Amino acid sequence: MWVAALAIGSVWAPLRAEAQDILSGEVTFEARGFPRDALLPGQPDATLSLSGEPEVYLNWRDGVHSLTLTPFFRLDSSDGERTHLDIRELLWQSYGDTWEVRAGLGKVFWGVTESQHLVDVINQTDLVESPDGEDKLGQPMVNLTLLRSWGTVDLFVLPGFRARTFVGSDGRLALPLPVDDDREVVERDVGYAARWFHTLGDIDLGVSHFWGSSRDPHFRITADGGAPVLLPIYETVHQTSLDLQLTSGNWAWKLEALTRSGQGDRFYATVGGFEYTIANIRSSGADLGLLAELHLDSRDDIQFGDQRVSATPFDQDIFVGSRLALNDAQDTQLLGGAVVDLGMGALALFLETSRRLGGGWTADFEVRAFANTDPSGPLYGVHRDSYGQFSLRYHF
Amino acid sequence: MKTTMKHLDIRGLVSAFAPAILLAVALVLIGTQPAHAQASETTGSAAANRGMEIALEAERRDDGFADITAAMTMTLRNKHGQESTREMRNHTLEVDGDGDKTVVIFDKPNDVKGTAFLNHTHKVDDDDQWLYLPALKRVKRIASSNKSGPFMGSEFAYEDISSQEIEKYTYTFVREEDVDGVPHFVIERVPVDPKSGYTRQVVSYDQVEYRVQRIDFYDRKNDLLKTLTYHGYAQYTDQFWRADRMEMVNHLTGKSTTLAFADYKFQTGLTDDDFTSSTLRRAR
Repeated sequence: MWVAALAIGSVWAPLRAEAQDILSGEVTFEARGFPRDALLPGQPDATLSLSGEPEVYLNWRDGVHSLTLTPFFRLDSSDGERTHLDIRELLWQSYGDTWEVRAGLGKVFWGVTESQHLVDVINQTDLVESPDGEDKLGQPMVNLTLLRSWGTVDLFVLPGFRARTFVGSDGRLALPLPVDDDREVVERDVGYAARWFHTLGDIDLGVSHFWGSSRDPHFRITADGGAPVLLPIYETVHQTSLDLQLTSGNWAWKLEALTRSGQGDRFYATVGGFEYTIANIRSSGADLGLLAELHLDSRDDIQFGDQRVSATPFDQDIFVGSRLALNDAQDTQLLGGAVVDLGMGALALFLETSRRLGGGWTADFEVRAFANTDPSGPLYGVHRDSYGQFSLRYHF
Repeated sequence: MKTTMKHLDIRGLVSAFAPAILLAVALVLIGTQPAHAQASETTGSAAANRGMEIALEAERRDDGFADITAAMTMTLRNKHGQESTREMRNHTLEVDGDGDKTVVIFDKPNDVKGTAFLNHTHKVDDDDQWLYLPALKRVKRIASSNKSGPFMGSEFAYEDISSQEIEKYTYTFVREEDVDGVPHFVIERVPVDPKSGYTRQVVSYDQVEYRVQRIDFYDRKNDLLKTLTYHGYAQYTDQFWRADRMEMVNHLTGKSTTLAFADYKFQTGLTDDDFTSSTLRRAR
């Protein structure tokens, strides 16, 4: 008995010393306003919500072994689907000189471009969080990393599939029909992935392959007791991808490309462009970045109900944007831009700003607007859902 | 007597560091003439040699530290005296024949906690820099051309805190002077990189240990912009001197930044593998 107590004590002792580092995280108050009337009755003109993402971090032997637990919750004033709970991370990590191991629920990012994360495939998108798709659900994984002189190899076994989250029909930014996520079709529960990446001077290069259920579903319209609903279908895909960045002087040239089979015909997609940084403008300390990215996708339009629609919002689009970092004590940042569909002229505009207030608080303001949408385009369902969002975050 | 001693020292140095000095002299010859050489050309080149010798000797004395870890606290003060602080940890790896590698891990303010910055500095070329963004788990290669921009909103520019390599400047000896009874060398150095925010820097070393004690930074209009002073030098592993506090004052804006160091550890066994964009993902 006392041996066990001693053992627990000796494990706990190094932890207690860094007690203030064990718990961190953030709580966010968010308000959204939608200037235009909703497409569907019952959808609100304004929403309030509260979210939290605490993180518990334990480590042993100076971080050689660590355990991270990061739950996430959101309470939303109108949308029951957006009110949700997730475990973003419950991850054991260990490393040696030439290897790293991670096991549990985790998050992995692949890619280099800014306006679309084309090759980033390990984690499912938590789409109820934001239409930008950057929020991700925790993915069950075992990941072995091999650190070699000729590059880093990441091997993944992904046991367990996470379905995408969708805004409910009483929330804004919803799909035009309700999503039946109780009957979704998932072809494979287990996925595998491998990635090699390396830095060669000015070039950062990654080549990856993924085999598993696609993270972005197809939809089939079915009837649920008479009313039409969307049924998400997650097919088994093989996806091979490349991500490449050339960074030199003020320029960063970026390219992501993939080929995927398993969702109808094999297709190709790419996004590429640049970010040019004008540093320290007129000795003000501020940096201005100019961004442009071109999106191409070889997929044909698909039959959807009685009309043909694009298979992806990024079939032939161009993104132009600008990033301003004041580099001041408040870390004030602005990122704004537009994605233009070259075929139909539809426009998705956004502005994201953030600023540190002090005392652990930051504020951010975000605008997303949709204009010139075509009824057969992928943005039509949200064409009245342009919004402004103000968030106040407390970081602890 | 003093001068003779110095000449002896320098001869020893010349033989030990002949290649470096050849390179340095070549750089001086190719590079710009010091902007403020007041004397004739002959004395100008003698002053350049002596300035370079002092810089080389300071570098030689700091050679072989292998690696260093330290905790840093940065206190930013605006002209009204309002303060904000940043806490970070710094790992540095000495690289033979090139600039040092560093990782900075941010702890405070809380909104940047877990962010990590990796810099492979180079003697002349642009540095290679990566940023780890913990919210997205994303390692992002960033353009390193903003060396004249502020670091974390402070009065320190990136170029002020990055690896100080001999090749980054040309040198001129200015004068010897006593500060509080301690003899100092004063040299002027001119950044080689046209993207530097400075026309020149005036650097004071104490003559006892060749430690930098003060730097005056002159902006692109050649006005005195900032002054950096070093305080609380302590010696580690019987060789390497490090200040426990650096004070940067901006004379144009009235803002200032204190950079305080704690927990200096030398030769902890860090290797190249601890300074890659892959291992940056686990830095915390």
